[in-house]
Amino acid sequence: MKILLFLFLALQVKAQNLQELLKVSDRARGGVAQGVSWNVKIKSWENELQTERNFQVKAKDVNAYVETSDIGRFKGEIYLFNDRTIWFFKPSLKKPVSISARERLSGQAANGDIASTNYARDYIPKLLKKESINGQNTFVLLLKAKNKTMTYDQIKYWISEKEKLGIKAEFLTLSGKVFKTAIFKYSNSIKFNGKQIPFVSEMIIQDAIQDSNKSILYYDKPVVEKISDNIFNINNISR
Amino acid sequence: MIFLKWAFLNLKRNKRLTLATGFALVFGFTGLLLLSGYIKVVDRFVSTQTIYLNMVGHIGILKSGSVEDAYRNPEKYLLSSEEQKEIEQVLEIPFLKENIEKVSKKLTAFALLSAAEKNLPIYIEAYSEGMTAYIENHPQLVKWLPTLLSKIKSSDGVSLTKELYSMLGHDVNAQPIDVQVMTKTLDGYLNGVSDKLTGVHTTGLAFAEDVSAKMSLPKLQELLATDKIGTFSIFLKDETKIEEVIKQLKLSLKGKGFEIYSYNSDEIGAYYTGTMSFINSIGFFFYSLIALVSIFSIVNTLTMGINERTKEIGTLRSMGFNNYQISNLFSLEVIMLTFFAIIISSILYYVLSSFINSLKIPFEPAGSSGYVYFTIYISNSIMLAHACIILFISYLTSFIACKKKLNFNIAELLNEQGVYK
Amino acid sequence: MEQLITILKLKKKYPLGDTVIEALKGIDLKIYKGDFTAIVGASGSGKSTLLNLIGTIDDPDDGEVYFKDINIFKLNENEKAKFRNEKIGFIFQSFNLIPVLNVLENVKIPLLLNKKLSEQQRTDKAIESLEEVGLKDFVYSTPNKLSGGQRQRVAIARALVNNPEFIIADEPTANLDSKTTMNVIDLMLKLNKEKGVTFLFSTHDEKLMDRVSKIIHIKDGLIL
Repeated sequence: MKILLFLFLALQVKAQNLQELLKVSDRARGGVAQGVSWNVKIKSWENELQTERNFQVKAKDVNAYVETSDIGRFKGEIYLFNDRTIWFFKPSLKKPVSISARERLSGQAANGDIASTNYARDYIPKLLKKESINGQNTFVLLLKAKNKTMTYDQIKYWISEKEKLGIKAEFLTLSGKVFKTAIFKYSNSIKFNGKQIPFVSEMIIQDAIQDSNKSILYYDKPVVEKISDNIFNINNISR
Repeated sequence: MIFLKWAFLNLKRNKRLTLATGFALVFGFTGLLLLSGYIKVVDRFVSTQTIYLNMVGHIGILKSGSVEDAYRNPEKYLLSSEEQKEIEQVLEIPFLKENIEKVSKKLTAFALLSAAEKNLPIYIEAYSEGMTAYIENHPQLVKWLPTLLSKIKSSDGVSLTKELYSMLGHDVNAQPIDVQVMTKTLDGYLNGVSDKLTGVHTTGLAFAEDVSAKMSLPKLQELLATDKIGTFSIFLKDETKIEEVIKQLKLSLKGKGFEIYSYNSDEIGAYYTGTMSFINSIGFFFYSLIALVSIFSIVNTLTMGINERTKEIGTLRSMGFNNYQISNLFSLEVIMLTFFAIIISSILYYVLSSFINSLKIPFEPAGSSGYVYFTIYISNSIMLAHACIILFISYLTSFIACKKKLNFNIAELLNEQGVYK
Repeated sequence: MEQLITILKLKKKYPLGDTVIEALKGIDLKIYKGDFTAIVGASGSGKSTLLNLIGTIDDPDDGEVYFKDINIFKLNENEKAKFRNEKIGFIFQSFNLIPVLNVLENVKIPLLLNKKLSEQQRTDKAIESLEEVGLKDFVYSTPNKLSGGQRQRVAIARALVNNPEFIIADEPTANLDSKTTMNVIDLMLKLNKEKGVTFLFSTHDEKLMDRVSKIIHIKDGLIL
């Protein structure tokens, strides 16, 4: 009986192409080839401290330019997601500094890293099972990093069967334990190839080890627009 | 005087035995003195390293609870500017002012250094202005760690170890370059500052050489977006005054939420306490071994001496000597022999130590970032202290060894066959 | 005459392997001041045991010994040591001189316990004692340079130096030739007659019997 069920599942997925699933889910979080921009408010609770930051994001394909909207000490802060490298810059620095893997595990860099994760480009999917979450049928995939430079070696990813949107992700340590989880909501929409498609509205990133640490990203006003490649050039960012 | 002559002549009675025991005592005692001299030098190396090179100071003032919990919530356990003012006011007390040579504020953080297309994780220690210049030519460093002085060059920018310079691929003597330093502020935001790489320093510790960086206090405070500091490091004119100064500080700062530690505490001087406890354990092992060998030599000699002179003991008791008085006669022999051994050992200690010190043997202690000269500390107080200890051990041993044999009935003692010469 | 020593029903046993030897089976004896008493008996008769008990260098199994009115076995060890130093002089068969000390130093030994004497006083008393025994010219000689008779005379001087109430000598002439024996006994007699020193000594030499004032025969632990 189990063998029949497994064969049935396998046939279903074969028809849908796991890689295509990832690409569609990435698009709903900013992976749009010609470019998309949005505002994001990040509320974080870390080590008993609560913070709130505001950014303007311009994303194109695998790159993202994130600039703070906040004033005061944060004025002029920029995060540049350039392919797989994250750069940080602020006016007190003479030039941008690349953010190490360690920095990507906590704070804004971690949020940005998870928010910008390009599953289709960087991971090899494997179907584990089908599962129902909050009444939605989902495919449960195990994603394995294509190379060692990725922050997370493995990710367990739930994609809704019907809308092909990422519902939930668990970011795993090398030993397979859950390090962080992310829950995605899609109340926004963007116009893509003449059609309105869902776009992420909320991302809840939870620390699995210290469960008092979490961040919520509120996405606002997403719009598809043409974005120049120049803004993603690190050499254009300096004092 | 007759007792001294008597003891001396008894030692001459069995020359071979006396010489054998004497040699054992001489070698044992000389070994003890040399070992103590070495341990003393290690103590000076490590304490100088801790106090001056690592700028812990003789005394540290921290916020209560910071040692245990600061890593979890750093901001909570830093000293605010009001608290700093409070401490600075207390340090103006005349007694403290006359005993303190220098005071430095200290702040530390883990960060990322970016320069020459490379990123290096670093541990930054920031101090008050002028601290590197203070340390550079400090008499204690010149006396105990002269070989490490060449690794220090003061700067008002960022200072790295030679190891980090090498990892960056930048020559220590080349022109200063721009560096970016990035870390998370105390309230959790990513922040960065630029500075110039101008200085070089050493921690004295091999394991710390590939992460240690120094920068000015205001710069680190800018990086961490704070005006707080972690510790006050206090440097005294005279190390022997530590306890007195701590007592005064505790009195003056009582109930204000501060902790005060000396450099040889686990809280701020873990490297010192860890190293010295290890060295002292080794020393204690050898001390015990040498003491045991000495004790056995003495017991052996005494037992043989008593066995040879049981009739003599019986005769003395028949004349009115009690056990205690006879035991003292034997103890006097042992003490006399020990005394001669102490004199010879002391001469050997001075001669051997002077010779070894003159050779200037370079020696890289385990965990050290550089070499020092293998040195034995020559000290009269070490020699006197050990002399007292070994004399006491000799006396006690002889007393206990005599006790058993002297408890015999006098008639039995007189009946035993003794060696009569 | 003053009664110096009173011995009442004195008994002493010694274990010897699996058996027990009764060295003294109940001795009653009185010694008076000025006595020159010889205890005579065969080997193993109990002479040495009796002298050891009187000299407090051994402990009895039963009985009492009084020195004047002091029961000496009721004294503690330190009191006994003081008693021996002040009241008794010992002379041994093998002389028992300290070999590393010279004659003068050997004679001084009993005086070392008297803290009230100065070093000079001790020297003077020792020399006086050596004069009594005719060895003043040998003060700086060591025992190995003396003859048997001379050594025994040094031992006598040592026994006398503290002006004891009585002197106990266990076979004092056993290791001496006959001429020297007579010389030593004559010296002891002289001291007894001229200085009133009480002597109590053991011997099995019959030739000495006509020189002593009192003879106590002992056999199998009992006085005959």
